[in-house]
Amino acid sequence: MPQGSHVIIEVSDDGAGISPEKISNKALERGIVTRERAALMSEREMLQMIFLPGFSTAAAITNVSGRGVGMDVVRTNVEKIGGKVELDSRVGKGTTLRLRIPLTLAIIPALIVRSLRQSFALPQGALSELVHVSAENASAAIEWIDNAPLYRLRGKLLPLVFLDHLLMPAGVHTPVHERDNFIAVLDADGRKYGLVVDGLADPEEIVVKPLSSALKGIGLYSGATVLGNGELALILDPGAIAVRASVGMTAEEDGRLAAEGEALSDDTGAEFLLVEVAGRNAAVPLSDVLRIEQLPASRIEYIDYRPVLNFDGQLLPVEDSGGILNAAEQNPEAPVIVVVCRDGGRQVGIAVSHVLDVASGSDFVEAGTAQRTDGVTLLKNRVTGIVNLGGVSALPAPESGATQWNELAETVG
Amino acid sequence: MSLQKESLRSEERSASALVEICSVRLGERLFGMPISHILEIVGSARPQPVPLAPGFVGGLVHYRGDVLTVVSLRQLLGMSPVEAAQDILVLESPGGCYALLVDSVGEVLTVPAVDLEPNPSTLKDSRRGLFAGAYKLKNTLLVMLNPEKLDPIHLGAAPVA
Repeated sequence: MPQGSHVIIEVSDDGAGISPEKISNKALERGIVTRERAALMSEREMLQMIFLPGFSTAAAITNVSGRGVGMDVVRTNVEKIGGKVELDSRVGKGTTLRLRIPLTLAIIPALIVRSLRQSFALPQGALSELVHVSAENASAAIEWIDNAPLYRLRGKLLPLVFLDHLLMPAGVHTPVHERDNFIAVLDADGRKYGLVVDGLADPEEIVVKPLSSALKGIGLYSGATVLGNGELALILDPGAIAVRASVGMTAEEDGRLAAEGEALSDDTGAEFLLVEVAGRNAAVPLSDVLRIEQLPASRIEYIDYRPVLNFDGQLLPVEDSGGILNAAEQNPEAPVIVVVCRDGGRQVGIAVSHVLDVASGSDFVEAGTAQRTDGVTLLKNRVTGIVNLGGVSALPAPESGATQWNELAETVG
Repeated sequence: MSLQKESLRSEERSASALVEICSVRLGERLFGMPISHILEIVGSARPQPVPLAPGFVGGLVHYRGDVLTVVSLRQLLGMSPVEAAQDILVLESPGGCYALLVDSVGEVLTVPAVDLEPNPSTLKDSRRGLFAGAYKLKNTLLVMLNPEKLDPIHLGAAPVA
């Protein structure tokens, strides 16, 4: 979040556009500009006159409109906070209105983390995931190469930065095996690392307040904010922390890290939701997962022994290859988990025992032919079958197709 | 008649030359700040610490929707920190507002401007900018603070030893 950067809001239409001549005629009529000045104006300058106080092209004036206040108010207020309004219009093509608002007044989503017994805000943009390492597991889970802490994240070594060590190099810190550790996995400017904090609080939408230059000079904070509970929190700059933390690194290690980052991005092919169905692991492509529902078994209804789910008048066929629904039938109040997926135009549900994790899988190739195999993937070093969504039987319908679904739901419901 | 006129004139002169000063305490020491620079006094403030900040920074405070940098006068003058809650002066400066953390704010004194003595030449260079002379009170000296020089922007640009 460098200083001087802006948030740009652009609103455009493809309407008739604003005619510069009409603007300048109206301005002359109202005595806002003199004829001599109007003659010297470029088309762009003419357009900017709509921001002048008292300017309106409206023929009739009512209590609220046509008084020439609106655009003047917009510009005054945007300029008051250090922003700009730009207008671009072509007759017959449309109009574009661009608001440039300084980022220091922007609202950003952030995760509030705790360290050194105070709160810090971590912008969500750089955050990819969170890992909890409890005090018991810390000694085993956090590994060291000399004095560089590392965490094995899905088989890759992730360099760790302890926020308390970074911010208070001379302080005495609680060892990792005597406290809860939360690793915020960050990706800042392509540098992936884990920021270790003592605790997590809620995510919040925060208003970024600028810091005085004396504090900007520290280089690790991009601003400050007032939290919902009235407490102040400094906003951490993930990019600057990455740079600061690697100051002691050798060039060689830098190169290795960069290479690792590239390898990571190559590897992340498809992401899968890892589920357990009656004791077996199965994978559902994450891009197809719409939501995960937990509901009492009694919500599942049957058409000709086919389990279906009624969602606001829409029917969803439920795949129950593991016999989970049958098992749950004895206890109608027992919760069952249904993963709702998209399969082409239709939606299907898959009954599962547990939802385990999200992991990226890699493809297999068949030995000899080097052809990609379908239906299996390597997840967490285990061969895992991918649920075939297309195989979920369709509901009985004259022509079972996605378009008939709503009508069907109406007739059945 | 002429005596009356004389006294009137002297009253006028002294009235125009009176200055109002907010006195602040720092341990046993007494300092003053012209009230014209003070926006507000906030009592029992607990600034949020800023790790890795320069030595003179006492943290951040929330003031009317803004986040102000706190200059700790104790830290600036190399005095040991105190645990007790302290008072804050919110000061206006060309670079925006900032807060000055002191032990406690005392009364507003009205003193004749002529009582101001400039900084002694023996004062350390690093302190000379921070102080703007001193008023001779009956039993003590009121050391005037220079609000422009205490601004964190100024302090950050030219670090005080």
